[in-house]
Amino acid sequence: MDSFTAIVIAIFLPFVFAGFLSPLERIFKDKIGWFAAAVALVSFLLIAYVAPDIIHGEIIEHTVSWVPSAGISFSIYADGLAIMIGFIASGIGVIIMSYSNGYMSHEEELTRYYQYLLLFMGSMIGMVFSANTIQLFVFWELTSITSFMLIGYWRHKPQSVYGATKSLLITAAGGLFMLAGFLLLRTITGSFDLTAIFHDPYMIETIKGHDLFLPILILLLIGAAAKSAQGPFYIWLPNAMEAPTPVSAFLHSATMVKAGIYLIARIHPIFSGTDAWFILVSGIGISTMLLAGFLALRQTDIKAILAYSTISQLAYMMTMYGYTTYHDPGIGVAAATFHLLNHATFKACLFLVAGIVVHEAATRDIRKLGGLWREMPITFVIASIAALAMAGIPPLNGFLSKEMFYETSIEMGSLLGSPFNILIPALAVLGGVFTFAYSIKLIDGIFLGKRCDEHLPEHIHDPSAIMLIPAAFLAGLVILFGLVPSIPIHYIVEPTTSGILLETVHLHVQLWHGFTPALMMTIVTFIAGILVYSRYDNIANWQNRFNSGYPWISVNYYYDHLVDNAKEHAHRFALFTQPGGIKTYVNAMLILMIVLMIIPLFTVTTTLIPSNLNFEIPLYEGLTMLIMIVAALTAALYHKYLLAVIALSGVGYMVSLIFIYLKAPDLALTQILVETLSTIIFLLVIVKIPQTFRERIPKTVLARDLCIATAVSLTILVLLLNATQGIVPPFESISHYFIEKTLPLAGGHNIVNVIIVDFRGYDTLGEISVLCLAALGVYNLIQSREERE
Amino acid sequence: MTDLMLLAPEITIVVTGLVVLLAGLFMSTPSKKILAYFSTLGCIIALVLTINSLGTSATLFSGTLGINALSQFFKLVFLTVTLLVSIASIKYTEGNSHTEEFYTLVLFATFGMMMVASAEDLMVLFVAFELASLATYALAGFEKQNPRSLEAAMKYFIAGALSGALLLLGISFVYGASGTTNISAVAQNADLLMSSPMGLLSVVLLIAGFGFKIALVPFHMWAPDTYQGSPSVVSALLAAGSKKMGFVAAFKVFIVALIGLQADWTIAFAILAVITMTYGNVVALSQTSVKRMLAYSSLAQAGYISMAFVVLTPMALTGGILYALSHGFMKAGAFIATAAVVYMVFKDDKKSEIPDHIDNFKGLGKRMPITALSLTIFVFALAGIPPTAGFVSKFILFSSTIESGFVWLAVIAIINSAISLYYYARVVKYMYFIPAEGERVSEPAPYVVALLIAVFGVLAIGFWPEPFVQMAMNAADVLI
Repeated sequence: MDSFTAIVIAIFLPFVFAGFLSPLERIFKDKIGWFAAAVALVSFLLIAYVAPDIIHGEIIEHTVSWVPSAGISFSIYADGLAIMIGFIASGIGVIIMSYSNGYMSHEEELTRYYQYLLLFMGSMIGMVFSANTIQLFVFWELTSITSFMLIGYWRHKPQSVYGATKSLLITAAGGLFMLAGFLLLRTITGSFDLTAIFHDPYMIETIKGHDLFLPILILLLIGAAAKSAQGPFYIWLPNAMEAPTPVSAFLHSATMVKAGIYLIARIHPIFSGTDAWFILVSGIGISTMLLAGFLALRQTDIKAILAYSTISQLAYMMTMYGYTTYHDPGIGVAAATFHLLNHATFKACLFLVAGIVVHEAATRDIRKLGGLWREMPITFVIASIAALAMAGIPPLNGFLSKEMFYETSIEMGSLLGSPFNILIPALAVLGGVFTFAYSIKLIDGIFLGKRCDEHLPEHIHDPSAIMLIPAAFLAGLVILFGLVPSIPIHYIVEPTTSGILLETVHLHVQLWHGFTPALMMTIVTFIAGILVYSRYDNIANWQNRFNSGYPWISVNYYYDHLVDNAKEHAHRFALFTQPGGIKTYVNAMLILMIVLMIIPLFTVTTTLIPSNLNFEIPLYEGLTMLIMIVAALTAALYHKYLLAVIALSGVGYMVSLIFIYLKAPDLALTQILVETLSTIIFLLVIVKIPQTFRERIPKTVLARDLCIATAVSLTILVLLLNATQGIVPPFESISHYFIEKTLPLAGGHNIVNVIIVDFRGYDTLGEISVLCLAALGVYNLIQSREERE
Repeated sequence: MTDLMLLAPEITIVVTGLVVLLAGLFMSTPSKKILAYFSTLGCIIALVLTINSLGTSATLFSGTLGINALSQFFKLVFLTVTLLVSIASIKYTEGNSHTEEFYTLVLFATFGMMMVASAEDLMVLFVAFELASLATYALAGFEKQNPRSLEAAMKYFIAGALSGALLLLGISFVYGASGTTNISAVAQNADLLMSSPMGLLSVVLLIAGFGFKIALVPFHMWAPDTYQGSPSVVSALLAAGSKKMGFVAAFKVFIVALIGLQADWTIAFAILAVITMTYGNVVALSQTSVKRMLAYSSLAQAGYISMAFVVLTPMALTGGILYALSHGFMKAGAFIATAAVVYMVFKDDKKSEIPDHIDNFKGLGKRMPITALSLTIFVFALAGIPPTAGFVSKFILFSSTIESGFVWLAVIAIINSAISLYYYARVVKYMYFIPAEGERVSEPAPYVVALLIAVFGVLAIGFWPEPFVQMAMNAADVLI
């Protein structure tokens, strides 16, 4: 099996089995989760099968034509970056799906749950291996949709429905901005293929010098920030915590929210090295890191703390990717990558612990928890390892990547010079201080302190091995990566960094690296962190006071107002523009038509009425017209049906007179027939209804209608006057043709007959069929009447 | 006679319609179900014949009718929609003594649409246009006992009559200025049109006339009322079929016949497209009737398709034409799914005022799983989410818009797509996230079959767009 096939199977296997999960449920019953985990494991192994080549510096590229006419192909691009996220997606997928067997109760709709999980996993793997931007977008949106379905999984809770809608609106809309960015990028490069751009330095230069560079970068960053909950878009992630906890661990800490970071890394070769890149990426990163870290202190729900901490940790990575503009890109990218990997391990582990706590203690409120370490010793140990890693305590993996973050911040600061040489490291330390404080809070609040007996069940114990082993495994990784950093560095971080930077990178990371300035910053972080922790409640209270005092200083405030008001305003707008009466509709159309017709007339001629009018109206024609006008007025003004109908038919008869003046007797004859017939029908109807009618029309309405009617007739008059001007038909009458050809072609002397049966045979056929149809209709009417009787 | 064979699909449709009408006279109400199957069969045969004739191109009847990639593509759109509608209507018309009239009207409307697609002469185009319109006026009021249906038909008819008059006036101006009604001959006489004020006036009148059928703001006002009030299967025909007829007519008349006045009508279409899509999406946000919401969403979709008139590159037209096909599947499917829900509601409560109210969609995922899943796919497709037909067509349309330098237009369209996500997601939210009220309902087979065909279409174009893109490209080549 070649690498390409392996990757394609790894992507589509979850999709296929997601489809087959419903029938398979009959076989596996409530063990269906293990089956799903096995599917995830196969995907993981397939990626592992490809991995050795990638680690040795190879890159797998393969393209299959998909929609060649639109320039879209199905392209696989496997480098270190893709393999790393692929590993995380499938590996954590296995862990989560196994864990869910213990977490989800058997009464739930398990098939639906695992279906979504598998679909998500397939989309995530598909996304990271995409070389074609459109293919990437397709998988990207699929992850948004599956996330939407999973957040709303517990449908009976209104909050989860709110959270699901919010996440879809923000992430999917962000995806559309990303798509716009890709489309604009294509106008420069002429290709949707990212790899084609990577391997062409000249192209990258062109993009950087192009006017559209900044718009494209901003559009792509909006997509990335929306997905990774950065900047103002962070608001969806805390609400997404309504999903079942394994889902939060999987999607909203380890994988899906990394998609934005992945995008930043993926486009790094194209956009990095510019001021805009540094300012935007690091700017979003630093501000989000501080804001989310600070807001985390206020949360009382343990999952909310984890959500804000995820936002803040993702911001670390953003910040470091942004730094690469000025200093040696190797360090920043490597640090970001290492942190991404570490975060996936310790944060997923913490979420699993949160799941265990919820499962056993039945509450997520940190104020109601406490003192659980006695009853859940193993969980306590696992939680402590993960939380301390997040706080950056040696010898755990979080310590190493945080040190690297400090190192890059110092270097960045010194490159920019005063005052940044103090400011940037100081901000970095501040972010670390918040992280330290809430990490400690998690352990202290849940496991240490006093047990709140009134809120907790009597007996709490460690969960079954099904839930414990996945968490313990992740905690093991946390320690392993910390103690022997060369393993992840060599096998994962180096290939990934090489993939991002498009050159081979060698890194040296050791647990003990001497008394560096970064270590000093870590020590400062710990001391300040303990200080902040001692004032933890004061800070939280201050935030609560601030929030109730100034509710408008919050992104959520605007989101809720926007969504609620949009609906309300749209409703009012709809009522205003669509009041329902047909009269309004017709009036609107007529007024618009008048305006639209007068404007072009003015642009073409200065005078509305042509100056060279030359009408000779004979007396009898004028008289006919006058009678017509009087009859029309009578029809409009009289309140008796009979008179109105007769007056109306009078108009019709006068029209037929005009036809006679214009030498069209056949037309006149038809007109007379039609008029007579319709008058008779009218009269037949009138017999059945009241003879008079009196409408109460308000004066204003009457005036309005009068204005519109006058305007319409004036416009038509002007049009007709113009239409009679100067058009010379560029063709001859066809009557000569018939006169000449009737005898030789059709052998008939009666021209009219020949025209009807020969020259226009099809017309006649059509007319006959119309008559037949009419007859059928009449017959049907009579028939249905009999049926009713 | 070889000529006539080219019209085999049309003839099949007309003959089927006549046979149904005639046979209905002699049948008792319960046995009229056969007529529904017969009409469906007629549609399938016509569809196969059309697919068979995809490659041919010819002109018939002294250049008044043309068979080419464009006409056959749109016939394909109309026939698929009619097929979906007639399958779904098997259940809808069950036990109705007017079954034969319903199917005859549907088939005649389809015939009119097909003739519009083939028309190479403005008069033929107008007559065919009116044939389809008249049949659909009657269909909209098919539920004679239902005041909403009558109101729908009445509004549709009055507004339609007015716009028909405008259309005819526009055509007569074109004739007056260029001296011909033949579409390609009008294009040759472009200089005559451009030098006369009549040219500009005819553009205005024609936009109004077609704008009514396409439901461009501000000629759209009938559409929400009519789509909501009409029987759902008829709304499917109106939104998915008859709207496309407006497009193919407008494609021919503007892009072929009036190409000389391009500078004038592209501006008009740019303004109308932006207004229409924004208005449709904004107003759709607050709708509680799903059919009305779908009506506003088809305004928005018409706005997107109208972008093709502005960009006017072969690729943009390909996108617009492909969008017509995709929209046919998505919108017809969505309306048929609604029809299934309405059917379910009426089973419980005969007197329901607004049977398509969004509250009736609560927990549909549990109550009618196939309908709910299909509707989810349709609304996601309408929102342009991959991998669906909606995404592919939107993608081709938007990317060609950007490539031609109309970045502002594409940005407006993309922002609009983002807004539309909200109301589409709301339907899914109601179906899957809000607990069900009521038991599981068995889904009538005809609805299910129609829905599955539409789902297949939406996903086929989504996953394997290439053949469809090629077809649309060939169709676009006819125009430019």
